[in-house]
Order: sequence, then structure tokens, then C-alpha cells
Amino acid sequence: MRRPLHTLASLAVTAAVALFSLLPLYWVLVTSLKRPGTEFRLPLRAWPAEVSWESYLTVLGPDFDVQRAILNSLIVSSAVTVGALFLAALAAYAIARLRFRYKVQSLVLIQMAGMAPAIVVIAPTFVLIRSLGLLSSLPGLILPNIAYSIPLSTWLLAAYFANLPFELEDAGKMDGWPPFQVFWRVMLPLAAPGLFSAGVLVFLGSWGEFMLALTISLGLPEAQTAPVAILGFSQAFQLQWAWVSAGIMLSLVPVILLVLLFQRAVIQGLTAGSVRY
Amino acid sequence: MAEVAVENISKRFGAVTAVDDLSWRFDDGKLTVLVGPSGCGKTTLLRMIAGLEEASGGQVLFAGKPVTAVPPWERNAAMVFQSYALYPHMTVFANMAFPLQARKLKQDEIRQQVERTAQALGIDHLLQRKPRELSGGQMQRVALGRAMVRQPEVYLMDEPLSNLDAQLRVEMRGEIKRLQRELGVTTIYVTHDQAEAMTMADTLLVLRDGKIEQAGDPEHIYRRPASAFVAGFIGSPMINLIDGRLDRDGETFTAGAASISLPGELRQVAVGQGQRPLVLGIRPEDVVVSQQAGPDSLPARAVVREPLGKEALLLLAVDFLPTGSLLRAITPPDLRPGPDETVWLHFLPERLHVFDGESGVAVKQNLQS
Repeated sequence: MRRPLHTLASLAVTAAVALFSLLPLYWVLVTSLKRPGTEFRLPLRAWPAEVSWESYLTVLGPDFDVQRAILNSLIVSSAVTVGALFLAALAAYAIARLRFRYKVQSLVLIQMAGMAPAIVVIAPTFVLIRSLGLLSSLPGLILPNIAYSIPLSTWLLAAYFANLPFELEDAGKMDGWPPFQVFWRVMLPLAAPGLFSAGVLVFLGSWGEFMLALTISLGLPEAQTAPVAILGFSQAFQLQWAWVSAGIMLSLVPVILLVLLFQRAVIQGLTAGSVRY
Repeated sequence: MAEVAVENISKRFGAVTAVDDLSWRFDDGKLTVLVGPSGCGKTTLLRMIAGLEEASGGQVLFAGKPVTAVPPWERNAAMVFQSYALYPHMTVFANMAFPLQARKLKQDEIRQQVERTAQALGIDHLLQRKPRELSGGQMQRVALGRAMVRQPEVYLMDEPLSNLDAQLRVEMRGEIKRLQRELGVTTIYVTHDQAEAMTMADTLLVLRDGKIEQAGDPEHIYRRPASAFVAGFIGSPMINLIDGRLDRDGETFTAGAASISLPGELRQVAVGQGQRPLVLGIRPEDVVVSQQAGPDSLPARAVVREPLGKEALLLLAVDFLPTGSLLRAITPPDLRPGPDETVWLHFLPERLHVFDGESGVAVKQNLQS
């Protein structure tokens, strides 16, 4: 039995932490609901005296077209997640399960690639994408983001694969399936919880990625992701915090929906793993 | 159906030789048990036949054709694993259908075969369950079903019963034996459990250090072990092995302070051996214990009596075994010596085994058969 004081204390700490991380978001929400031009009006209120949807209508309108940027972000982040997870899963599986020379070295090499700061690789990436003729295009964003995402997801997935029982692979082979099919039909589904955790990280990383997106887009709306487009709101005529905030709120919607949607799948995946081996 | 054979097969892991130049022709349609202590190479041999382990040398043959270079997924051998290795994310049906899908069978054909096999194993009511919802015995049946659902050239079973409790193990051992006989598929079965080996095998292969120590009919091996190692491994309670040597006239075997007189026939064979060290083997059921002294009987001190129901295992301190070693004897239930009571032993002479003291090889098989 827990003592009430103890419960109260842990509740208070949890609330404090939640408040600390949610307060900025709340402030963005409040700002987005103020009429443009009234963002800094005093006194500050916890909720605007009159709720205005004007900013939302503006950013969704033809001048800003934020939905297009959000769609771009969705395409880029989804493609990056699928591509990075597939490649990382192959690499991770090889590193975790196969016997070959320089195994550890290859993992270290992949990790080293992930350690370079974005600012260091941005110029060479730009040159590379330019020579591929992919500037201001979504593939030009997707390919480098896949590359950036591979080190961390390989690391996570290798740890996951290493803990799956070897006999399942043997069973797959004895049942008549060649190695790639065993990987695809047996090992990959069993790694679903690991794939999900890695997938969320990759998706969010690519959703929020700004520097590369700004560089590759060259300011053209057809290749702008949400963060880049939202920054553009401030340059159009003047800095309208209400517009920026409305853009931020709208760009959050797909992320929240996706996490909620996949969470269910993950919980299923986690419980499916609880088998006596 | 096909005859499976290995020729001069070896497996080395670095400096360790797990299987050492081993050749054997597995009887077509029969159940062959590979038995031996851990590290004897039995599982490695099985995995090489499966193709899961690459041989360092030698050949594996299915129906006379070498398959050593054929990968496991093309070998058409079905395997049952110790851990069952059921796919946790698939239903029982999907688990059993998996090998059939690999063979590109039609959907309704797959359904038919899975249902038929499930029925034969009494698991047809479990088809929609996931492995985690099954008991150990049910998982074992599904694992068997996944192997039996197709017609492989050979079944390979790697200690399939060792995760089951004792009662279920006895039940499943009969079940596997029955199914194997009905299907008539060549089966190679690995176990470290000598009782399982004895009861299931058509042919028994006793392995030691990567070589076949003795092969044949299990009862024959029990009666005529080719070496002290086999004698010690096969049979429970374990055979008594007594170190000693023959005296000069070859009539008596001296161990410690005791002399055991040998029967005439054995004596003749033993004489030729001179005075080199020998090991005398006598199974617990061949030791006759009496509370009265008789001619040639040896004294012993009762230490522990373990009732087994219809008989009892008596552990005896004797002066011809090193201190700490006890002689095992199976006695009738009505013989109940008190603790530390002196009893008298008589070895059935025709049941004595004699092994070379150094190599452990049988000098002369016992004379009963």
C-alpha cells in the first residue's frame, strides 16, 4: 500500500515536469488564437479574451498555403522513415546475427557517420544533391535524411535483433525459406516494437529537420517542409506571431495522430513478444 | 522417403573437433537416436545433416545424392527444436502453414493439409491461437505438426522433449514413436536422456567425443556394451564399474582388499589378458543381496535404501571400491537391512562385463547372449 503523501509527492513532480514541457506549447496555442497584432497586448491572459480563428484561416489561405508544406513534410518524413528503417534493419540484422569479418568495425563506421554535426555535412550534401539535379525537390530532401537517420536506427535495431532467439531463424530455413525471406517474414515482424521506437525517432527527427530543408528547398514552395514554410511567414510582410503559432499548431496535428495510431500497434507488438522460448 | 547417410563427416570449431570423421547410414524409415553426454557432437551432427552447420569435411547424402553443398531451405528435411521455435507472431495455423507456403502450395491445399495434421495430433481446436496462449505440451505438438505437415525426406529432432515435465515427456515419447512408425519417415532423434534413447530407438548410436562409440539395437547395447563408457551411459541406475586386476592364475579378480572369483568361461578369456588392469562391470539388477553369508559372498555395509515401489535401490559401502563410491544394487522390496547393517553380495557371474582398464574397451562381452 502506498502512503497518500508519497502518491501526492510523485503526482506533484510529474505535474511539474509535464507543465515545464507543455507550457511553451500552450503558449503557442494561446497565441495562435489571438487576433494578429494583439499578441503582445497587456495584461497577459491565460486564455484570450476573444478567441479568433483568423490566423488559421490566413495560413491555410492561398498566400501561405501551409497545408501544402505539411503535406510535403508528411511525404518526406514517411519516405525517410520507411527507407531508413528498411536499410537500417538490413544493416542491423547483418551486424547482430551474421558472422563476417570487420563486423564491429562496420558498426563503428556507421556510428561515426552519425556523429558529424549537421553543419559539417550540409555543404557537401548540397553539392551532392545539386549534381544529382535534385535541388528543390522532395527526393533531394528524402535521400540525405535517410542517410542521416541510418546510424541511430541501425544501433537501436541491432540491439533489438541481437535479443531474438536464433532457433527461429533456423526454423525458418528448415521450413524451406531462404535467408532474406526468413528475415522478412520472421525476424522483421518480431522486431516490430524495435522498429516502432526507431521509426518514431526517425519520423520526428525528419519532421523537425530545418537546416537541410531550408538549404535544399531554395525557397520554392514545392519543396518546402512545414518548419521552413512557417519561418517564411515571418518574412512575408512582418513578423506575425499569431500566424507562426497557427502554422505550428497545424503542423503538430499529423504527428500527434500518427503516434496515437501506431501506439496501439506497438502495444500489440510488445505483448506478442512475450513467449516462452 | 530416403536413406540418409553421412560419410567421413567432421566439424571443427577452432581447435575443438566436435564431430570426428564419422560415417553412418541411417536406416530408411526407422527412428535412429543419437545419444551421448553434452559435448559429444550429437547436436552438431544433426545440424550438419540439416544443413544449418557447414561440415568441415566429409559428405551428407540424401537418397545417395550428396547434399553437402545444398542449403537447408532446399534440403527437404523437417526439424523439431528443443525450444519448439514457434513463430510467436503467427497463429498455430500460420505456423503449420509456413513450410507449405514455402513450397508454393495452393491455399485450399494448405488448409487441407494443416487441418489433417492438426487432427492427427489433436490440436485442431488450437489453430487460431497464438503460441503464447499454449501450454508446453501443446507447443510441442504444434512444433511436431509443423514438421509433419509436409512430406520431408527426414525428420530431425533435437531434444524435442527436454522442456516438458516428466509425465508429459513419457506420454509424448510414445506419441512420437507411434507417429513415426505410422508415417514411416526416416527420423534422427537427438537426446542426452538414456531412458528416452532406449525406449524410442530402433537403432541407437552412442556418441563420444565426436565418434560413434557403439551402434545398434538398444537392448543389444544394454546387454553387450562395447566399452565401459557405453555401459556407464546406458542403463539406469548406472552400472557398477570396479577397477582391479586379475591375479596370476586368472581365477580371481582383485580389487582393493576383495577377491571376486570369475566364472569358468570368463576366466578362460581373462587369462589371456595377463595381469593388466581391468574394469569389472555389474549392473545393479545383477547384484544379489542377501542378509545371510553364503559361499564366495562379499560383505557390504548398507548405507542408503531408496524404495522405488516394486523394488528398492540399495547403496552399499564395499571395500573394493574407493572410499566415497557406493555400490548400487536393485533389491526386492522385502529386503530391508537396517542402517549400517552388514549384508552379503553375490554377483551373477554370467552377467559380469569385463573392460580393459586403460582403453575401456570390452575384453569379453558378458556371456548371456
